[in-house]
Amino acid sequence: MPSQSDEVTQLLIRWSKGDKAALDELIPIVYAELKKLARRYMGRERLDHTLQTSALINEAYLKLIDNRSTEWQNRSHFFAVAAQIMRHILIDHARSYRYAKRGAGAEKVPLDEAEDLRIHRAEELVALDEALKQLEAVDPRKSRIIELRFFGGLTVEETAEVMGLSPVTVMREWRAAKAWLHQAMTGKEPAQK
Amino acid sequence: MDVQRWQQVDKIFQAALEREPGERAAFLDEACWGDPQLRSQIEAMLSSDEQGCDLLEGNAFEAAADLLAEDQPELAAGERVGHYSVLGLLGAGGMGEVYLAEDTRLGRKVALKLLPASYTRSESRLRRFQQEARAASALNHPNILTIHDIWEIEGQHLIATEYIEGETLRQRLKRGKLSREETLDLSIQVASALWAAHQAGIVHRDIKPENIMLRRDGYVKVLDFGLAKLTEQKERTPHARVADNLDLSSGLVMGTVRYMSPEQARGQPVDPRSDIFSFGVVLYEMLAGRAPFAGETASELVAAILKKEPPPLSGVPDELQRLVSRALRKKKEERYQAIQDLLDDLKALRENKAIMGGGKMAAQSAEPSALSTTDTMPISTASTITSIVSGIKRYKTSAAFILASLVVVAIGLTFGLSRFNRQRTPSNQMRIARLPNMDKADEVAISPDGKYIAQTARNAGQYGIWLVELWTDNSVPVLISPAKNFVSGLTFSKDSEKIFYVSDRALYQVSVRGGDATKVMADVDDSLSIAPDEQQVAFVRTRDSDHEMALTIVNVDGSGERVLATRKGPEFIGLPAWSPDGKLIACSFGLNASNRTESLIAFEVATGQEKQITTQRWQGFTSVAWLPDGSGLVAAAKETFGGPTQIWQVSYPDGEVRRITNDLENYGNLSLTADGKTLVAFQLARRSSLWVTPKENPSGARPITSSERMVYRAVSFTPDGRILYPFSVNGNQNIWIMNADGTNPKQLTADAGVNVLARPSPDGRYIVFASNRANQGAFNIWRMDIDGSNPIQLTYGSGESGPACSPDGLWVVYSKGGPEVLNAQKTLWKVPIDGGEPVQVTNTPSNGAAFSPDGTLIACWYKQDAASPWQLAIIPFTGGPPIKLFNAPRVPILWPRWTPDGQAISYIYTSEGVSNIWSQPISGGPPQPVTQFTSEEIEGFDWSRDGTLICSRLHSTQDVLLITDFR
Repeated sequence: MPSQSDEVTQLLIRWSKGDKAALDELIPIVYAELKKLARRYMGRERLDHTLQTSALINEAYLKLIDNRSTEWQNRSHFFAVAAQIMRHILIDHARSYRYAKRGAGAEKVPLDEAEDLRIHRAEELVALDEALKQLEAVDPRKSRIIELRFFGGLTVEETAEVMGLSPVTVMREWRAAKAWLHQAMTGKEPAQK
Repeated sequence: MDVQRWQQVDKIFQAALEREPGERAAFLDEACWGDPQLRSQIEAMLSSDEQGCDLLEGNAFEAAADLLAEDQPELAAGERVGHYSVLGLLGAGGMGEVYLAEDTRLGRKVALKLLPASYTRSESRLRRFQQEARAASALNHPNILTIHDIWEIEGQHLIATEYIEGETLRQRLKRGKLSREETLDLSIQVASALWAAHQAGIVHRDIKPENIMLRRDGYVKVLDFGLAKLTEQKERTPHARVADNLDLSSGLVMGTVRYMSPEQARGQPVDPRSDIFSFGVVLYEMLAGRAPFAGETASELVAAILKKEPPPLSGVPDELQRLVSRALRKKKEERYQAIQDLLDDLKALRENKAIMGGGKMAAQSAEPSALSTTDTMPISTASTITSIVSGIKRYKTSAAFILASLVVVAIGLTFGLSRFNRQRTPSNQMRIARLPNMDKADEVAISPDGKYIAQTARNAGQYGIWLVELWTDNSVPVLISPAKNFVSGLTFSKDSEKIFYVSDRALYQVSVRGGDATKVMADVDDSLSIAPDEQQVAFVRTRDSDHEMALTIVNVDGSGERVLATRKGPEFIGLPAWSPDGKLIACSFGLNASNRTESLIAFEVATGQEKQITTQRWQGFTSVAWLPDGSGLVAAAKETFGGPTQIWQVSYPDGEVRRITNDLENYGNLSLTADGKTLVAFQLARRSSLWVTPKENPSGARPITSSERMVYRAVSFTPDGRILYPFSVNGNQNIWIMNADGTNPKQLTADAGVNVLARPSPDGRYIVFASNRANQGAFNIWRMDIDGSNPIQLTYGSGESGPACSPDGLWVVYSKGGPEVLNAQKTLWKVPIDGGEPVQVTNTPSNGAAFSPDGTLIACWYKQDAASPWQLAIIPFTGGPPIKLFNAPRVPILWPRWTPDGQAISYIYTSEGVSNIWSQPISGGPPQPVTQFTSEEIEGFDWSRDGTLICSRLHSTQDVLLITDFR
């Protein structure tokens, strides 16, 4: 019987070769793992209030990927893939969360300000995703950099390695993409059509 | 924006960023010349860059972790979590999702709660929550939800609790406000739960309708004790702003603002009076159908709690209105100061419902009642009774004279100590007399006319019924009916002419004047109750096939058998008692056989419908009887584990509980005269004392303590020659230490649960012991410093006992598994002295470990397999099979000890009620007696390093008491 790590590795390879169906199979597995990790991270006393996404993905990577696989040695590559999966998962989740709390006829629970905060977060994430799709249409490279850095937690150097760019370029593109997204998300889409 | 345009914007924007801010305007003038729209687009980008994007400065996972973590794993029906199998979702709320699940080991239904991750991120808070939750559950209060289990799987914290079929008070309130009677009934139960918790030092902090469950049979259960601990702020400064209490950082608002006390809303420390306020809010809501304080937002609501007076309750009697407003005072000093006072007032309101509305309800009932001690007289009942008994022995002349004079000897018992009658004083002073010639009785009963005492006994090999006629010269019991076998179920007929009894599973009757007994009916169980019309009997029959207990009624001619009620393990019923009007059968019942929590319940004979008699709980009943006027019951029950079985009076239908006896003896076998004035009861007294045998004089054993009304049991010498011993007062079993001559006794453990089996570490630094303080009645191994400080829990299983420290001081060996002390499920384990992962030492039944002086060997009781007899084994501490096995007493008594020279293993051997210490040489050969006692049993012993032997010796006595004026 193939182990889970074999399975995930194979799916990643298939997906990286263009098999879209592999992603559908991958998401629930990675999702389950990330949820488990998220719960554990949330369970710790958060002294610095910072979650290290890269550490988290690294942990998922170690857990999900068969290290013996020769075809899948590029850790950065995994991160790039994982960033896309993270985006799928987190945005999906935020969307359904927002829907559950604010959607069709759901009664807004008063007095729970933390709940409000969470709903606000969910809405922000959904808005970011929408903006990112727009950005992708006009500037796919910037959109990808955001995906890697924001959803994948990659450093500038790691992003540069995955993208085949210089770190300086990544830094510049990152800055421009952020400005673009900020405008898009605050309703001031850069350059009204 | 099209791609081309964007590329243009991006290029100029990035170029602008390369320049110093002061140079940018000039750069843009040039770069966007003739295209003001382009310029404004780039300026907007630059402004966005300056403002930054908060969301993107973090990372997605951080932003979404709250969402992910809050998203509970949806458990599907059929899914297994540990040994629980999920049956379905019961509900979801702020405090997590709750599932119905089955405990596959015990076959019972439980509610399984998943705690949101945001609650469990602080280890210390989690521990505090677990402690409080367990402590509250361990109170075994009928109105506090029982917790079976708290544990963690993959970062997910779960709680398994008893499953309540019913609804929350919130659900009930959605259907409208409650009637005054309903409100009083529910609130008395809630207040009673809070009282029990407050007495144990636990403040709920989050009393609200969501946390109050209404069971279908009328029981109310308060949930989530301790849970508020999880959401508490780590630090709270007085006068902290309201917003600070809304713990936004943890992702959850603590509790519900609506039920917060003013001090909670201010972020000040809370005490039981905070619960009283929250309870007041709930009480108001029950009566009004709406909460007393309102607000659109949290801040408005908090302002109302802090400042506004709630609108008056309409249609609610003044007294109740006053009670509620007194619970809702803003200043905690002006509120009810103790929940018990509030509880007392609620009960008073319920009792006085007849005069309600007339405004006659005593206003002072709302005042804190002072504890009256003027008419109580704390004296030693035992010594007084002893003097009465010696009186009987001296004057053998006329029993009538003696009894007549005895019953006027008043014995004022220490009613003042009882919590249940603070506002009452006994109407009369109780009188107790001891009946002679009853020491062999198995059961006794007084005739309704008060003329006879019947006893069942075995005398000179003969079973039968003996009768003593009271108030005559003849106090010698007369055999009126012999029986072939053991006789029980002794009951007089109403006219005092006949006696019913059970023998060989058949019910017989015999005339008090003697003659042949006639068989009334066959196939009854011995704990039975006869209907007042004497035409039916009731008993609890246990079906062996499925262990179901059935309260069964049968006509005396054997016809019309029907089952009134059933209980299946772990619940149980017993001790049926038919009410004087014939309409009810009261029973003792338990909810959980493992911790023996019992109370009283009644079943309607006509319908089988259950009625709760009282909310009070005990740890086991031995006898239940109705007062002949039907106004209540008397029962013999123990209040605490290891405490004495005392006599209680429970009123019906109010369920008020009053303790009749208040001493350290055990009572049982209650019966009453028809006028309800005289109560007959067994009194079983156990006395024990410590005896020391010096090494140089094996026959010179002498007592170092006087004979006391408690049992020393397992005793241990410390390395410096002091003695560790358990001491039990009012059910608190504590570990004490004293000098070897009995002087300077000092209590080491602080009234937390049962603490027993203390053993010192060889360096004299620590004491290891078994305690149930943390774990719902299950025993764990604990360690404390030799002075009683720094108690630390070392093990977290159940049924853990008999700890012993290794001579190198590094390990604690103990036995684990199964509830009873000497249990074939127990095996030996070891745990590091500083705690850690336990390691199994033996894998066949073994118990009572003792280390050899050099620490290489363990002696213990041992079975080679479950079917083998117990043997005395010597096992290498490093593990492996026994290197020596010796034959041992059939039922070994804990705990074996090595002699100080390491050449023999000593143990207690009891034969015909007399115990002595014997030693088994490890070189082989027969065991040798060490002591030469000719009476009394030994319950514990130890050797000091210099060879002094200490024994705790026990003797029990049984008396039959005639108690009058007890009501």
